[in-house]
Amino acid sequence: MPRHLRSSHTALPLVAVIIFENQMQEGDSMAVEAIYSFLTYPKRSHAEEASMSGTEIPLDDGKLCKMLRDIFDNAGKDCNVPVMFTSDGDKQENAVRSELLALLETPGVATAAPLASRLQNATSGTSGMGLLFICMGQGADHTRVVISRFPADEGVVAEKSTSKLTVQFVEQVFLKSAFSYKAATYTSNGKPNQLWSGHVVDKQINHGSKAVADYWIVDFLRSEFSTTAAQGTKRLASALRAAIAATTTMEIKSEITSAAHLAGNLPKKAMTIADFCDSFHFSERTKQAILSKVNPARLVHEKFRFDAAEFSRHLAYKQVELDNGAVLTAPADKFEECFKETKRKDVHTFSTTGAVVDERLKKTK
Amino acid sequence: MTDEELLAEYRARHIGILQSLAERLTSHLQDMLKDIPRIDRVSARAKSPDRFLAKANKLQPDGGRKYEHPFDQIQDLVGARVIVFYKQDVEVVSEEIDRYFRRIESKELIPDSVNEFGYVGKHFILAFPEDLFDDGADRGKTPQFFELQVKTLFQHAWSEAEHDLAYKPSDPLTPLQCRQVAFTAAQAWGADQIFAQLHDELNGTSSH
Repeated sequence: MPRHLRSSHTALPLVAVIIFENQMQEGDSMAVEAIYSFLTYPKRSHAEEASMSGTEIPLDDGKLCKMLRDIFDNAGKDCNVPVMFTSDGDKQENAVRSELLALLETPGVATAAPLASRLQNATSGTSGMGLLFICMGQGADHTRVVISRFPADEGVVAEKSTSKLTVQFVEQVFLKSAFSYKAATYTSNGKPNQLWSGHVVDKQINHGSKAVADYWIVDFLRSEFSTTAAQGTKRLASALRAAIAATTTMEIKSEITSAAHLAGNLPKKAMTIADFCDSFHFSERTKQAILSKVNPARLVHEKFRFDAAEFSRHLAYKQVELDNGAVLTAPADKFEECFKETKRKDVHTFSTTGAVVDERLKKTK
Repeated sequence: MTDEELLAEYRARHIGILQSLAERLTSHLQDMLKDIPRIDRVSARAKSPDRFLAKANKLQPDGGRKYEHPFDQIQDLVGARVIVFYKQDVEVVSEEIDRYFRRIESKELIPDSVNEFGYVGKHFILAFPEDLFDDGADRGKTPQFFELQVKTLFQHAWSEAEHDLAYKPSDPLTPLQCRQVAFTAAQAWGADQIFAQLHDELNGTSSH
């Protein structure tokens, strides 16, 4: 169920950062030590250096704190996309990581504000106004930070008193929308050279618009998926090749080969290997044949951006058509192995030998 | 942690984790780069316990330890090298590395002054790919990053010989020996320049 936060009608710009301390593995409970909140506006087109005004939310047993505690407690499960801060050049630096480390060093509204300001400056009109929360918790030897953003929407508030019903239109309603909810979680061990990686959830990373898809991870967090596009795509192609090689079942070979032909047209969108299998509606047998070739198995669910060119490098089929109507197809890297070719002027002769394992009529090539 | 405790802990990790990790990394890199021509060798190694201890005990100018948390701060517990024929190939390999790995550092190591000759190489600090870790791996004791060096044959040959001859802290080089080491670096640099030019001219890689 989406949960609602409603801002005060008279509130000045507000951004929230929540700090809990404890190491939070999935299912751990920990004490919340501080919560900060900021209201962020879309300022990408006219970024401002103006200082952010935020507030520390008092820790109590109210519904707001309970909701934020739930987000914090479930972050290990909800934030399931591994990301890494990016760093260019010869210094191991990332601005967001530096701001996170400063916040961990001295938790407070002032040290949380740069993150809120950064979010505001990364936010376009498409994403609109939002309410930012940052939560931190400390365990025996780890500190966890959870950053979440709730988009603004419009809504209606209905209040019933003993004598009448009051209905009111409100503009600044903040939704933990299943379609636009964003969060990121980082675990710090307090040692040097750490906090390079984290986990995020962003329900819009498959959005058609690059600006929307990149907003949370690339533009705000200055991060990327831990798995590069080439690495993830190669892993997928290798699993498909291994599945084809390991099976004698024509149905499995045929499904994978057909998908491989079509995959060259896929856009560069975020996916997992499991997502790829689902998008081509593989039979359960084919899906299991592919997933069983992913080693280690957890990488079946690792997110990466599909790269069609990289895919073709590892799972391409070479097809030669002759003017007599013959069409020869084989895996690109085995074409010369499958077909012996001789040439006299413009006339090519191909020969191959093998047992027939499948024969069919197709309407198209 | 005393030196003995540090060494014992490192030895345990060296045998139990780092050596096999280096082997896996070697295979991973070799597979990744197998279609790129003119690669002389790809290798990875786990830092030896003695070298680890020596590095962990390095001091800063003020006398304080350089590494308070050596297991976390020393980023070449596993180091890899890709040795290529020509300077142009360094760029080709570097682009491929960028496509397959997340990096937190990339730098060209060159002498400080244009009038000096010495160590040259391209260094990366890269995150280990997840493919190298089994589901049950103890991630608390495995490094997150490794160092990768990409060098030409001449850069590699010079740095190996220089490392063997010039790193004698108890016996510093004489001025003449320093000039001789710099001279060999200049020779290696010159050889790379000429081979790069010949590669352009004879193998047709020039853009002109």
